Amino acid sequence: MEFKEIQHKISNIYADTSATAGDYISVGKKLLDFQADRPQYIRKTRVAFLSSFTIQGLPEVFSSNALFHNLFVNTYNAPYNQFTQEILNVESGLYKFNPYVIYILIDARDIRDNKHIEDLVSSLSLNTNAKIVFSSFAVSPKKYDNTAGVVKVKELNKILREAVNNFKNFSIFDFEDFLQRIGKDEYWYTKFTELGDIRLTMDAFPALSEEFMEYIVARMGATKKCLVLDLDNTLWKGIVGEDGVQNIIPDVNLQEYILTLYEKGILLAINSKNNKKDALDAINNHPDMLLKKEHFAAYCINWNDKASNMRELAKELNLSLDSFVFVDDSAFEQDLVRSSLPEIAVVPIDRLKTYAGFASGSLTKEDKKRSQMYKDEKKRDELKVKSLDVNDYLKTLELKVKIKEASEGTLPRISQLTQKTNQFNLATRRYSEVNIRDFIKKGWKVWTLEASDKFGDYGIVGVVVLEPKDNVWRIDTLLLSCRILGRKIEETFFEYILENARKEQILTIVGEFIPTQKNKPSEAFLTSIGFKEISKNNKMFVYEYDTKQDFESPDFIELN
Amino acid sequence: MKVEEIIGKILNIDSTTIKDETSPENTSEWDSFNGLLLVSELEKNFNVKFDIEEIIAVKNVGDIKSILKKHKVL
Repeated sequence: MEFKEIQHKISNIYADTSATAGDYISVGKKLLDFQADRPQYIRKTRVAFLSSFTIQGLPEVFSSNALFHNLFVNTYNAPYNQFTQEILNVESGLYKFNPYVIYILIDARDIRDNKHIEDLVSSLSLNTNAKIVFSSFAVSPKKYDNTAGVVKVKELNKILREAVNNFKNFSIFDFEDFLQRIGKDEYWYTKFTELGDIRLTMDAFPALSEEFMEYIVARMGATKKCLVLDLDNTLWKGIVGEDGVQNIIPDVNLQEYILTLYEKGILLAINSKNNKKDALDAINNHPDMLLKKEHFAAYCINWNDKASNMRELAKELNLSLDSFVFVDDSAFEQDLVRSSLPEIAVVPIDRLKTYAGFASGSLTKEDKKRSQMYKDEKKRDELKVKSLDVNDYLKTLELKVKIKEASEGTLPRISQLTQKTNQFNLATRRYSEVNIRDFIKKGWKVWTLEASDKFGDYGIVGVVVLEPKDNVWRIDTLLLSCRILGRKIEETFFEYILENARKEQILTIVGEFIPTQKNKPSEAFLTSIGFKEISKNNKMFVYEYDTKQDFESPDFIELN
Repeated sequence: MKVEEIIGKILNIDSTTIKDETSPENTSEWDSFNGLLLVSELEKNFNVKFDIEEIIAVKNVGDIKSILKKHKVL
């Protein structure tokens, strides 16, 4: 397959109104393999997504979708439900990734109080120059809602608007309005919420992705410059050369939209198979033609093939082909231009109004409403004084952990965690209850970690399996459920292991890391707390820790 | 599209290698995310809605086909 074929596929998916998230994602996988073949006019950029629920799939849909806008987007999807830590921590993956645009989707349920919003906004304003697209809060169904519903959500949105008002790099994306337009009940809190904390179904991702696209298009200056229109059965119903000027029916609604583009500075042009005289007659003399000859910067009205005409127009207007959008009702003409000139965006008539490629500067509805003077710098200085760092935030969570020896009653949960945990799992060894019971019989240590914070009790979320050998403990397994990552609980867990090792005169703790496709979040853990690498092969890294080393554990976690 | 083609597309594997016994256990591409994506894709393609019990009960491709048959779309 060639890069061109992938472009062609994506363009077809874009044109297909019944295309699914799966269509975008499956072609996106191929896109990655061919990124080196990308032509020059496709520019590379980076965007990040932060969310308080699972949006896996949205970054993937977005990347495929972006190619239609001649952008090759690398994405960063912040770890599950760690948006607060990612925003408050200057060293977080989010800021290291250095995105051009950050998209934020937080459920009102996951906001603690008004100050939480203010803290997020002030940290973002201090820590990044990225464009920040903050989605407003939407009301969730009663069954799930613990935020007192509509009134509370309204208040949160007011706080959010006030908080971002001082910063020009923030935009608010009206998420409730988006949900209403696509049909909230079908997409927001469905059965998928129970299956995998997917609160916005994947079916909504293509539409959301195109709306989000405006911001990166504007930020990258990838805005199209010229809209090229067909005439018969596009700008009007009917064929002027056969039906006559009297009998065609111009599409007034479509023309009104095109006029708004014209007023924004988008050039208009015509590419039509017609007799020039008939076509111009219709444009000049039909009473329902809002678009007149003077609105068009250029026209090719002839019997040549439309791809040649597009080249002609590019020459005449002195624009590169990638600045053109082509609209034509004929599937044949669409496909001809799509295959011979992949730089050009071929947009179906019914998608023109939602097409993001004409976005520029601050043009979203929300942005227009905000006409205040920007006082960024002064405001930022004020914020530096009162801004929280990530440890301050974690302190407010009132984290507590309890570590216990495994018991007959906890064996099923321990086995289940070894089977299911992927991200924070150093060796990803899968064990049955029988395996665990055998370890305990052999004298190995198997401990569980329970965690709670002010929001509630998480139950058993961590397991360690230790094999004692003379004065060495080998960490056979160390895992934490993804539900409680990003809170430094792993450090407290290790502190407990270390204290016990010292009590039993253990000199060395050995740790092993076996990389898998999914355990990158735990890759750096051992070295970050002072383990030294002693050997590695292509399957496993082995580290050791001298128990005489000092260890400083987080002071905001209470250990029982 | 045939069931196998849809599964092949979502898991990014050759659809001709897919059998009734194909399952998350023997197919590394079939992780929980792709599983849910597959649910959404099958629902759209066959114009059906599965309930949670049906989804959880699926152990392999054969199970998917029997559910589609139960819904009289296969």
